[in-house]
Amino acid sequence: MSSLNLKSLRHTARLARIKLTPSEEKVFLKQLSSVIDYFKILKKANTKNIKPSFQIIDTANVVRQDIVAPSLSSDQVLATAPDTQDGYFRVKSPISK
Amino acid sequence: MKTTPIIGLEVHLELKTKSKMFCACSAQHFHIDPNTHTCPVCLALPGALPVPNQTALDYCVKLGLALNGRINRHSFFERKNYFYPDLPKGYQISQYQQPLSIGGHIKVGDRTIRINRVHMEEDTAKSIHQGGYVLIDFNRSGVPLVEIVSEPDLISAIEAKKYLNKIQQLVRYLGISDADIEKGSMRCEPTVNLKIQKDGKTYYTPLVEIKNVASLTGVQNAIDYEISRQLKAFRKTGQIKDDVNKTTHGWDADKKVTFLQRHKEGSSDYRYFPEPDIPPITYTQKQIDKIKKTIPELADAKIKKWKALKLSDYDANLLAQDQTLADLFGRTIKDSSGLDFIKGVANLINGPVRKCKNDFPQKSLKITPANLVLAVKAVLSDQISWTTAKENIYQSAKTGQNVIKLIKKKGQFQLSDTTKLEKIIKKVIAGNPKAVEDYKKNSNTIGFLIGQVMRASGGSANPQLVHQLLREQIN
Amino acid sequence: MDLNNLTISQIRQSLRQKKFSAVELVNAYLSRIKKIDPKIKAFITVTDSVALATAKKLDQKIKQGKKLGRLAGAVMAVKDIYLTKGIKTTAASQVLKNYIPPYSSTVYRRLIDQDAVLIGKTNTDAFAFGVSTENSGFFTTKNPWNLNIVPGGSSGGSAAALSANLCTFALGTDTGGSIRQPASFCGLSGIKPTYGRNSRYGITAMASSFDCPGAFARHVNDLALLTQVTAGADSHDATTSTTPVPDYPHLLDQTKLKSLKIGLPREYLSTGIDSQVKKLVLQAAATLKKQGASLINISLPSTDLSLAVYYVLVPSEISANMARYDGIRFGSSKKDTKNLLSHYMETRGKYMESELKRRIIIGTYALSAGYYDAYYTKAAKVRTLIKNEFATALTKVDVILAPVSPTPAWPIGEKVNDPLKMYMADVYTCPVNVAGLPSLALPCGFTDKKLPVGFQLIGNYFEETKLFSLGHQFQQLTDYHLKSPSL
Repeated sequence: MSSLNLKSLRHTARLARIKLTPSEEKVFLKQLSSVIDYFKILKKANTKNIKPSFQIIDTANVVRQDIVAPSLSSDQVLATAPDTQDGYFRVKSPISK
Repeated sequence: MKTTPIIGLEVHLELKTKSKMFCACSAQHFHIDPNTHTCPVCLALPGALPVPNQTALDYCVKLGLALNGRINRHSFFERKNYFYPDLPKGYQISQYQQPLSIGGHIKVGDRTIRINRVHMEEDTAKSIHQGGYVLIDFNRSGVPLVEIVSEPDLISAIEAKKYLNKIQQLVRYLGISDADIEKGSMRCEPTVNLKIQKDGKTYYTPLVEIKNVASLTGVQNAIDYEISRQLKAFRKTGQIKDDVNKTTHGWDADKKVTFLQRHKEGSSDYRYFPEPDIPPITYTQKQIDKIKKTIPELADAKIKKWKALKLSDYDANLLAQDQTLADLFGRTIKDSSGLDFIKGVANLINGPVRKCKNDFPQKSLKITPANLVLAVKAVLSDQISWTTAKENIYQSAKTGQNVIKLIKKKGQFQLSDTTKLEKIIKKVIAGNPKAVEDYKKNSNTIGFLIGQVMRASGGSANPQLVHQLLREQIN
Repeated sequence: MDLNNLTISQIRQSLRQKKFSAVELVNAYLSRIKKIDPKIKAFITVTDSVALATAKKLDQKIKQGKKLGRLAGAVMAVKDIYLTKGIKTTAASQVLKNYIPPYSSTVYRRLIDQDAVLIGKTNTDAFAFGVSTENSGFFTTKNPWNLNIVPGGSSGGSAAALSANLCTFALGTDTGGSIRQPASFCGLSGIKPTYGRNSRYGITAMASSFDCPGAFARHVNDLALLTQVTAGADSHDATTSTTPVPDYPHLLDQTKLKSLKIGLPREYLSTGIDSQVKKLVLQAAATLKKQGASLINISLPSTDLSLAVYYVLVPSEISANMARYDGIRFGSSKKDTKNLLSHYMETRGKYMESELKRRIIIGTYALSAGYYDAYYTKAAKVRTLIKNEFATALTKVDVILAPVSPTPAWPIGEKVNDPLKMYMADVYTCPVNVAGLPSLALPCGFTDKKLPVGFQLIGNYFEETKLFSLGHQFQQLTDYHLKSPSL
């Protein structure tokens, strides 16, 4: 488990699609490094033969039948959209090749 | 230098469920106004949660079984994390560590192609690129998708196409997907590389995944192009496959080339982790057996059976292509034998019935086995011609009317009873002495007499038989 | 009759007896909010017209002699991460500052169906990420007991509103302590039910396998009634339990204190705990012992690992749950960006509060290639250890009694620059969320600086009945829950 450095902070922020200002980078690097270093404490736990708990419920097979229910209207749905066009949601394109 | 292509195929199929994978919105999205089949779940509004569709899961199990896979008794969903406007949650609910079905195989021609896995996931929204923007319609977001991953066992572009045809036929037989490439309910992504043996050494070229193939022919062409491109590249650079040089290429159907797509930084770090919002899925052996029982007799088995009855390769394969028609054939011939009869039914189904189905895809076929039997028997007993049979079977398939009634109404029955005909002919000969004399002088004038017999029989006499009998009686 | 300090059943009875009308009650709260809330700033949105409209309808119902809902007239303040259809829901973040949702949370709907009245949406740490409500994207809420002190978090607005008697009860969520800690800091009772007892549908998701919707009230019997109304399977939330919901309000006398075995975890009561807090918590234990319960020392050896487990798994789930906030279908969106990538980067960069960014980055890091096994999987395995330790302890004792916070509420601004220090505040509450157990927080006294202190009773899965019964009996032996700050 290595500590966070500026390169990995930038890489992670980009993976998370969050633009950090230079001052944020500086502050977060310090704050997040100490948090991530804190995780080292987990190393001392003996988890041999222990199964991971990704959920803490006992249930399985919670499903729905294949029945259609009414949808929201397109007016309702587009009402909150920052940008729309002809009934579609709209956002800038990726860089074109 | 010996070059062997190594091809694997990833196929995505939209399932024919009524509702979406994780919500109760209608799964219909073709020719529907944009953003009219959405809800908090498939739009990924704050606070929305997924609940899986039982039928979709059962369809995936059915497919796994039909591909001879092993159903994972304990499977679960995972989040595949990446950002794109057509993925509203910023992650796709999919399967990774424990898919619903593992392994399996399918016969393509004489070869057996191994299946790696079949798993369940959800479809993304539809996006249109226009004028510097992406326009998004979420009607398709959340539609159930199964993914079939083959092992890289395919060795040619044409074999890849055949594999896709088999998969298409299979899922249509199972009734779980329309598998229509044009409509987007079937999508394929080949991964191609080459094994090159040169001077006693073996080299593998880097893996290339090809995206954006929109038709089965496109798949074949793209793979062929990629094979030759890789060979050229290897000859030039000698670059071989390693753990990190797999690339994604897009297929340009107009220019007929593959081109390297811009590397998306970190795009392959999907950060999979188990989906906390959905408890695991378990299937008991009893449940699996119940689903297995719903698998109909598949195409290969049918074709084998019919060829054993001496039906031609061509006829058998054509019949097997469409499960409804194959089923109709099976039901129609089940109580009868006789090659002529079987061939006759095959011809009618492959001909007019198939045509009616294609002409009216929205309507349900009204043809019954009983009508087919009546029509074929009528032809075989010389009561009608094949032309008449085909014309009226088409009509019966369209409207459900009784084929014999139709033929009678149109007066298309051929009188082929020799005794009856001879009586009529005798009368006609007696009533037309001059025409008989003309015929005796010139045999080409028989037309008039044939016409008289036809009129006397109400147009239903078998013209060939009339000609024959007239000649016999006169001579 | 102080209209601002009645229980749910007192209100319902009074309405039926026509002692006052629903409109009068709502106006009493609205005028108090007008007077007091500017000082404590518990509310982001005061829903006065909605409240009065609901009250008018309710008065009509009463006039017509129709059957009244079980919560008739009870005025509720709702944490602003619960979606309320047609009513602004901000999650106290610039990301959703103008968001009006097209649907409501299940828990909210179940309360409205029983004739509860919405008086407003309360402040919280943005998206509930925090322990003091100081991470709100709008403003900081003050603790009504001392306006220079934090109310706790993340459900600080709800706790402050109820503590100042601006509502009858309040809704919150508890992912790592966010109901129990503000309840304790504000002198209130708060229930964090078993994970899966209440539906999470329609509440902005923080950590999917930890989030527990719950409530604040002054009296445990109100919490019992509220939980009975909201609990139960929801077809929209696959993680809700089908375990039947007991009739909590009628089972308040069920658990006998005599011969009850109460476990005191030594790891919670040794180092790192403020001496006054420790004294008051042990006093509460002594109160129960006087009634015949026995106090038994137990050990939860992995307690010191709980925070690390929590702060690996929770940010990991957060990082995925927050990916939908991209300014495309709803929410704040940066205009005039160059292309898609900059749209994402700049929208999320501009509008997300710092704590959102921190947790998303920590979570993305823990899940990323090369780190997944060392962090995420390892933490999930230690989660199993912690779960098993609680299970073992609860075979030896009937209930666990523990402090809620290692310290009393701290001054506003004291910890804002040190996230790790903030995270440490969860040390006694987050293990319960790691295991998914239910816990009831109750007030047990005041420090010499007159700040409230609370303790928690932790039960086994779906043992809310036992917790409510014990809490109710504790409140008959003490009067801390009846105290209100003077504002």
